Amino acid sequence: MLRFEQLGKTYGSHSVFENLSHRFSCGTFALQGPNGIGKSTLLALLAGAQTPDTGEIWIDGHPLGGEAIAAKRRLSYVPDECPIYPFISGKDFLRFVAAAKKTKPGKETDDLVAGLGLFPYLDTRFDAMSLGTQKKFMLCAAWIGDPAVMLIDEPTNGLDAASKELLVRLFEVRQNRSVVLFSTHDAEFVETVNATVVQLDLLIGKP
Amino acid sequence: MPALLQVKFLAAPILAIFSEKQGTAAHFTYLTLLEVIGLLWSGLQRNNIAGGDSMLFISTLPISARNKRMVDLGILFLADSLLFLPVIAAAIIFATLPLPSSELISHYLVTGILISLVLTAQLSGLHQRFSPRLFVILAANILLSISLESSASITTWLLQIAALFLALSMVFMPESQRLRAPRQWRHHLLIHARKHLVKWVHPALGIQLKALFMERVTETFIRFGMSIALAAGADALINIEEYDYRSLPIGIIALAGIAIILSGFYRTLHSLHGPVSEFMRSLPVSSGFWVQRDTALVASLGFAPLCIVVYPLLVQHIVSLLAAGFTGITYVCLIGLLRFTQLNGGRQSVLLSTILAAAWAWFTAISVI
Repeated sequence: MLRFEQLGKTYGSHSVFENLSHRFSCGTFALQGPNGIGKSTLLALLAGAQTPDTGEIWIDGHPLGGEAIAAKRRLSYVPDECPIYPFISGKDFLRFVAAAKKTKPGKETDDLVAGLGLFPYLDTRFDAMSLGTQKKFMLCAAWIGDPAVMLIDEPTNGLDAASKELLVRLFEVRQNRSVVLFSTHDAEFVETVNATVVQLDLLIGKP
Repeated sequence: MPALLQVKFLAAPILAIFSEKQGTAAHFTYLTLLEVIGLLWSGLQRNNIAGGDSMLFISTLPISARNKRMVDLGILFLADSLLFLPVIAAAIIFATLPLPSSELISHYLVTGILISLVLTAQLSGLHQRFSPRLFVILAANILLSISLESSASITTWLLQIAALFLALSMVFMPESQRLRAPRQWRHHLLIHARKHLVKWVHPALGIQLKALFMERVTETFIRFGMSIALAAGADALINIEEYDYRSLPIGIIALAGIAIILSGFYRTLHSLHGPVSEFMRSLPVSSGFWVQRDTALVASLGFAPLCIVVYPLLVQHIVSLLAAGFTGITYVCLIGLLRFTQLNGGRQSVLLSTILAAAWAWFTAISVI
């Protein structure tokens, strides 16, 4: 479902990865490693948010380089920070993501909005929301369009205990039909969702 | 041209205030017009003058409102440097005029009051808090207008000193919290209108409309208002010249100017899309998603001024339907091309946009006339 080969990324003279290859089938995977190793960069590359210097990525069989639209239609991405237009509301954001994926927010998204207690914030501007609420909207958007690959950077950042519990249940539902790859330092969450740990430092050969 | 004549030409907007007895209403209108020009000038640079997002942090620092006001004033003085040219030129011309000293002082005083009133209007615009300062500005304008018509010197002095007092008190008085609180009914009306503005449109268009009409509302109205005013001004000029051979060139030049004014929206939209671009790349949309939509939006904003300019020319048979259509289509193409110069021209963006618009005007003129 998610495959990358010979992936390379360099910032100036600093090489983050070289010839990184891996494949994931359905399941929940926790990307771990020390700070600055490149977890967020890898997720951004796999999501198409950043462009790799070398290599290719396949999302549900579609190459991200050659069939970008088809590949991105099958993935969802939640960055650690929430770089959303500050003047749009939560509802605008969900509608926009759904329109981009040529679908509508489904029942799963509606349940997530309700479960995360976001109804009172649907008409609130993003810049008037707390970071936790912004993150919850980003997570809701990730469930739009039945993605085959979900890439989530620090999913538990800013979430309260009840929201974390809900996220665990949602991950459990997803693990049989999607690749859920997330980066986190929250060991308890990794254990609760029973995620397979992927040590990035070992993967790139920098233990 | 002798140097003094050039200085006099530069000082014309200020000298016009003292030119002759024009009537109180005409003085009032002219003074208000100068203040509106000053307001538009600072409005276009509002984000840079007000400090943008960094002010969120600065507002948490223990800096008094009076000190913040002084900083705002200092930055406004710099931003207004071009506007001060006519004022400095007028000050030089006053010194050369054979006037009695009392009248000379009065000229300097009126000019000083005008500067204070423009700064007051600009400071109010900067923080989007117009009332009740607006009424004070208008009251000072009335006092000044009467004083300019008055022949009794004592009355003139009293009125001008009262106007000066009003202007200076508004410039240096920090805005109190009471003045800042928006009226509830107006606030709710605005929220209601904005919410429904984007309810029935495509989410992407909704974001663009919110960007222009919520996030950058002042800039949008100023820019769009300027384009409409330029179109209406061109119509008025064409009408004065009774639709002679100059009508079409005037219309084309006006459209070129309008295209340049509207193309500033590209920078506005681009700056708002910037922080979201990385997340956008993860969505299944083409890389030109916003390029196409922004170009279409800016071109559609140019439709109203295009109609204002072209319709009278069509009615008066100055241009044929075919020529009007050709002008309209190439004008839309010009607006599209200006995106490139505005976003990629760097420091030369204004120059490159002007050259492009001038080339279009020349090409359209030789094709249509």
